[in-house]
Amino acid sequence: MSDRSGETSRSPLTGSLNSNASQRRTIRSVGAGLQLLAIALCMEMLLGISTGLGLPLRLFLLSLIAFCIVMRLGWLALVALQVCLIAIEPRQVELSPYPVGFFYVLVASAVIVAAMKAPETHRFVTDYVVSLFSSDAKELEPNRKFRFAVMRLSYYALQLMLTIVVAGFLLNRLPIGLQAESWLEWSRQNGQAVWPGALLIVLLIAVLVLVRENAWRQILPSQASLYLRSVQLIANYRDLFGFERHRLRRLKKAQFLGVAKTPPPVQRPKLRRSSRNDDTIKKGLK
Amino acid sequence: MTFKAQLFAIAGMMGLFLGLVRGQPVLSLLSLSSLLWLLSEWILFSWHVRFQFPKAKLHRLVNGELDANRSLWAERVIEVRVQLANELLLHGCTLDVEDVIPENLELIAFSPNTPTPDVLIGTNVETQKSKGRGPESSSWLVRGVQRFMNYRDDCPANEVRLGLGSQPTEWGYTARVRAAGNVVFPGFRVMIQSTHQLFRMERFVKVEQSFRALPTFVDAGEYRSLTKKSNVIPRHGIHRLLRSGMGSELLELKEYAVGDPFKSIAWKVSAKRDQWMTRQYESEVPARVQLIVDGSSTSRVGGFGFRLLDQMTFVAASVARMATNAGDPVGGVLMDERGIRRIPPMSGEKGFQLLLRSLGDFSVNPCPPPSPYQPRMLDAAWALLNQRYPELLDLKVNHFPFSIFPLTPGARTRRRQRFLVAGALAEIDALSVREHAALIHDETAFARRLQDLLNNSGIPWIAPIILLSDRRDREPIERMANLGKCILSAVGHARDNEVIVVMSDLLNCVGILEFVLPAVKLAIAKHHRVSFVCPTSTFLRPSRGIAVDFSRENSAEELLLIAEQARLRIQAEQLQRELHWCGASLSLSGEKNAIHLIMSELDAVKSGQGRLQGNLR
Repeated sequence: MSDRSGETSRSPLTGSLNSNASQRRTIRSVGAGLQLLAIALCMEMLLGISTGLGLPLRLFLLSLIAFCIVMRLGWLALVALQVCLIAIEPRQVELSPYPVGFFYVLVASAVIVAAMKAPETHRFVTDYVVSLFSSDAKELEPNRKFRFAVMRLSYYALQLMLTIVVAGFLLNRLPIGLQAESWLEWSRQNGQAVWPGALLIVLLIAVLVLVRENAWRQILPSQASLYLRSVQLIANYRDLFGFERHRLRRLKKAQFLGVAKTPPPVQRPKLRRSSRNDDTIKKGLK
Repeated sequence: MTFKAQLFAIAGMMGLFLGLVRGQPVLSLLSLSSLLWLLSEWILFSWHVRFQFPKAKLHRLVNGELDANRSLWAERVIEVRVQLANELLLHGCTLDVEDVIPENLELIAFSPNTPTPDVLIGTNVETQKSKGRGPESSSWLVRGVQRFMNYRDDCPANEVRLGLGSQPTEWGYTARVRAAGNVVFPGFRVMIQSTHQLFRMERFVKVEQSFRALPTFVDAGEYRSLTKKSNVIPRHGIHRLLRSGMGSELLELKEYAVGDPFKSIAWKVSAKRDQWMTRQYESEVPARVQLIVDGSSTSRVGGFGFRLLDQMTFVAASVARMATNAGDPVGGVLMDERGIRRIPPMSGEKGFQLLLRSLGDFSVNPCPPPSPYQPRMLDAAWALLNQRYPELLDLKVNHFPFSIFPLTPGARTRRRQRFLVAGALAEIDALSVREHAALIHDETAFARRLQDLLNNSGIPWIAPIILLSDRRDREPIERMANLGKCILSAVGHARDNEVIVVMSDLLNCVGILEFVLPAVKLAIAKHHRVSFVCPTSTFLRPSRGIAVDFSRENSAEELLLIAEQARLRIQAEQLQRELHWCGASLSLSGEKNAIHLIMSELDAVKSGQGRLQGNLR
């Protein structure tokens, strides 16, 4: 097995793994275990917030999320956490999440993203650790790698924080729960439309227009041509199908009756054979 | 949006709904933030597609040259290097680039001179295995664990993945040209996807480079006998050319001049005369060789390098090389269903190159004979379109009419594939809407278009582009009649004492040789020599030595080979009998023996010897 990075390169004489490759593999195995352990601790902390969850269910959810991480199934991790929340979270009239809730969602989202990116994260950590201890000239750039890793982690953290803050803001602002009553009262008193229904509709239409415009601008001219062609085909499909069926029937009938043109057969020339018989030829061959 | 992203969105929406209905704020927040995170990923992905993806400029260097107007050699290794010319800012997205390799190339390995790409982060540039490709030996669970543990599988050398901070980089691989013809690099299959694999877009970047692949040749070594067998007096009308040259017969002795080869010094005479004397030899009369190559459809069936035509072009190129080295002019007649093309006899390197180029162009497969529609054609076209026209199979732009029938999932999938492929074909060939509808319902027209698509994409004539049963001759009488015309044409253009080499698949046409034999008899009557080279599908000579070994267990392949050889041997004996009667020589299979036979005939023509009637190699 050849690999450009020399990761799994073998010695040409002995066939054994090179020291760099074996070192990397060892670190990888240990790193995978540590990564799973860290995520399990996070999950235990998440699940431990609630006291109402039984040990078997907790173990089941832990193993399910570990499975999701290994198999890179972020959506399943989300479903598992949602099921857990449905089971443990008390019902409230007020939908404003408390600070612990924010923290919970932040850690849970990080776990979901980690589940989606587990192999890459794992690979990066392995490569980074190997590069720290490697004497190979190609891998003497740990600082550079570390800078990029920090940049990437900061980006993910910022993205997650931002989405959670926006989600919290929306949940606070939108007329859901107790706030619905106050918004209704405000609308009745001022003789306005039920806010923010009208604004939401306008925003929704604007977003839809933007999405469709973006999608249309992304397609190629050949795709646009194909789109128009297929739309035209669907519009006239019944008629075209009828024409085509009729044509095929006529063609079949013509073939059955032998009307179709066939090329004339090639005439065989009359060859004058030698008077020698086959025995003479066989003798000549010998 | 991938299926994974759809599941994620559904889970988020369901959770949000339940959270709002049940009054669970953390559940609502988690679900809503997940949806918003998905939205942010989509915005980032769209930005990459819109602004970063068009910046990717890819160049390909073949053997260090960007220019496509060059020739490659069959069965030789070429080095391909791909360069990414622009700097891309891929943040949160990866770009998978696959240099699509034509069928006439066999991928070998990474280029030995490929530098390590500018790896800025662990996953920056890495090889990857495409989904659904290659042997999948382990279970999905094991594969998932292996992927998590980063045990990388063997991967094609022509694929790379570019990630965050990728700089203008370069990678390469080596490949071997399988056969003569052309080598067309169509372009790059590029897939941009978010790092979480939630959004994906595939495009084919057309960077077409077309090279002519010349047939390979070998020096077949010494073919003359080491001992002189007989003194042959030239026949009536055959005269020696009394001019000094590189022949074997002594012409005269002359005084040594600077530059004469030492080995030609006549030592005894020099000693007697006390003066350096050298021997001069007669010049060998140049004899022309005319190569008739039959490139009919039967000789083009098979993978590149395994066609009968490849054997013929190999023998033709080798004979041309050896004859050119000896100073003999070589011409050719190339024949197939498209017609007859004549190459005038030329000597020297220029003539040899012209012949090679003609053979290379002739080896390119024309339109295949029509075959009935078969489902495997659709599978092959589906795979090809997925590789080269992925944008045309997008369900967002390639719509098709809804129907309840068929009900079974497999049949529905076939129907969907057929409609999508028909739409893509209509777009590629710029068909009208009515022709588009005809493609959907007329299987003959659909099969014809599929064949054209596969053939124009460089797929060899193997199943499903052509039925395996089509290997048998469809129009043998017409082919033999054309071959007879070719021989007559060669005789008509020939001067005295030429060697006419006919390379054709005659084993299946033993019963209809009467279309060829009159022309052969005419050629021999005009003092020409006619040699037949008949390639075999097994690449082996059907000798009597191959038989079933009952002392051990024979594999199915061995038994099949033995049976095929036995069949070929019977046909070869019949063919030999017919040709012997005419006085033509025959060589079976395109190997060195065939080259030796032709060169022996050429020597015999030069020395004016009587014909080697019915010679068999």
